[in-house]
Amino acid sequence: MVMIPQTCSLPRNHTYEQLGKNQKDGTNLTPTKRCIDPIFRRNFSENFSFQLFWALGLIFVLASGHIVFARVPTTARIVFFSLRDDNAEIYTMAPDGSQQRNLTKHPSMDREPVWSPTGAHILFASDRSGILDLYLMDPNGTNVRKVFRVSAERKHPSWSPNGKRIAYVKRQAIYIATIDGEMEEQLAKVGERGGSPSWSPDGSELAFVRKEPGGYQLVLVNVHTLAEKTLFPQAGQWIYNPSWSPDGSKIAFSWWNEAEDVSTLYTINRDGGGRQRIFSPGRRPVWSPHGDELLYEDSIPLQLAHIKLNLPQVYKIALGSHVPERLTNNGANFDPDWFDPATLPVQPQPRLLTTVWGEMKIQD
Amino acid sequence: MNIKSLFLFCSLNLILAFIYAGQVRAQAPKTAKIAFSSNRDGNWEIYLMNPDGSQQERLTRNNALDHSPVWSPTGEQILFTSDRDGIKDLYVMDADGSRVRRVFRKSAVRIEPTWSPDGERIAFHSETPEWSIQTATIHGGDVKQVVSAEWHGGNPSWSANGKEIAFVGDVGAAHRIFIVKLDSGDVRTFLRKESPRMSTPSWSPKGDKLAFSWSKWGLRNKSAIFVANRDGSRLRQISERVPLAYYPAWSPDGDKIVYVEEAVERERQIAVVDVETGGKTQLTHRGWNITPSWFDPKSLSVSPQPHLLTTTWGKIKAD
Repeated sequence: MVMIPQTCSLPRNHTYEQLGKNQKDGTNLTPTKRCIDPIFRRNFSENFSFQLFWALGLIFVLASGHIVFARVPTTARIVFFSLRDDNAEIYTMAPDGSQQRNLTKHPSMDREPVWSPTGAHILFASDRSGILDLYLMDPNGTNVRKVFRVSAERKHPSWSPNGKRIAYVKRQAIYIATIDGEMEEQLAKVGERGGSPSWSPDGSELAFVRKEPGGYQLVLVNVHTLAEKTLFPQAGQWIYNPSWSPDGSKIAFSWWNEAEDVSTLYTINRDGGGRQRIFSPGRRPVWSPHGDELLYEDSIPLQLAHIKLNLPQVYKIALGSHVPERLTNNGANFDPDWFDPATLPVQPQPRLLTTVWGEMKIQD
Repeated sequence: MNIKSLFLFCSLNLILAFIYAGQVRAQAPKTAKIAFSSNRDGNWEIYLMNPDGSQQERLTRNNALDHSPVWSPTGEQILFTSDRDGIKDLYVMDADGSRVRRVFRKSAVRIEPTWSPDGERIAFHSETPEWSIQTATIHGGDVKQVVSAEWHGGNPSWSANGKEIAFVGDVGAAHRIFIVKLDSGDVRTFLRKESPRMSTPSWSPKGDKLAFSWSKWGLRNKSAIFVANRDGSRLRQISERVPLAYYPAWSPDGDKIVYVEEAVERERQIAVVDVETGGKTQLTHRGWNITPSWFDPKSLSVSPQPHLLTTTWGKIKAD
């Protein structure tokens, strides 16, 4: 029988995202793992009918398994958006650029797609209701639904590592909310065209860029305490698009050199040290799920009669390599995000298991 | 000392010498072989083939990513990268794929290996510190940084006289080929006046020419293999213009260049081109095939007979 502690509490300002992770502040959270919602405790604990209820429930779910769950891709897929037929659409492709598929096929603009941590959903921005707002869909493009009941201009979406919450930009500020569109709260102001939040793999921090005189600054904000830390000592630099490495130790970003008009990919340690130049030219780096490659954008100059076009394309480069692989070449392609089921701690088997992730209840 | 003990002593030495020779010398291939990496069986492994593409055989078998094989100068060993212990690092194996061992005891991310012409040292690209080019002995000792990190150098290639290393550098968003003198550390820019976007340099066997991949402006975002003399003169295009052509490697007689091309979209196949005539043959057809390295026993000054001779490879005395 599960041992149930009499009090069920977490230290203030901690959510369950931190449970099971290394606590930097040394707080010992292990006892709270046994917390169970008091309602359950009151009605069902140590009761035979409680077990029978769940056994029957499990049988029911197994019998009707195909109804509820979205299919997680069984192989690695990169989601991105593409301007190849006058209208931005969301596509997926294999990590070598093959098997490109249009998921959205909608006359409105669909952009900035990001995989949910388990690969079961894709979050993206679309103006299909007249204003650019956030939407969810299944990995095959079906079951599109709006995240928020009340529309507002929201963009630059990013998932929390547990898939329960999202971060995004609204009215020149970083906001977070639960994935059902509730509990929206503002975390930090970012200024004109700032933002690009990226959630740390331990769930505690968001990296983003904030407009400042003469450039953008790379900032980390703690999700619980709202304490901020600036990672770049120099002011007046053009820093863009931070992306957290899968092990949480590094942040990749692009740094635009105004004098030479060249953008370069860099990584920096979480504490602001160990800055490394990775490759140039390149913009908007995103990590591979294994952490040894980066996806990024670069523009190909194209001379069409008298017009010179710069078409962004998606590239992939192994860390340390000088030989990037171009993954796209049809139209203009942006904002890749890479999902690989092999990096999930457990193999996703949506038809067999029905794990419901719950939040630990916090009592004051 | 009587005769009996002397005889015993001598025979013991002889036995020990035989055991020693049997253990240490690996067998070099008797015919020319190209080593390369391929994912044709679902996972990156090291393969060998004849220079005409026949007899393709796999050398490594595991779930790890095995990559970038390079022949030792005598053909007895193959240096390659593998992530079998968690991160990409350097390994050496015998030419038949046996006796795989790590080069360095302490693991770090090390890629893009190459041998010195005397086979004693290797050069490679290492993550620590700051993605620099380093050299070390083949047993992982005496690590030296070749150029400072500000060159952002990679893809080292060791010249035939052992005195220079060509590498691709990333300076001011312009990828060019540089040549560093190992004794002084002086770096010069190869083809300084030409447009950038060069990569994967490879010295010819005599050390008089460099082959490299170049995606110059006139190629309209496509690339080709080029060759020029070491001073930059006689620059010429060797392979046809394709979306991507890279990783050139010379045949040991210097007449041909084997390289990787994307002739069909999202395919990487190994082809061989005659440097003089430009005649091309595609050698691989299945999966992705990259990073070729060519060994030919005919090009060795002495034919290696490890079980009969005990040649000690020495350095040619300079001056």
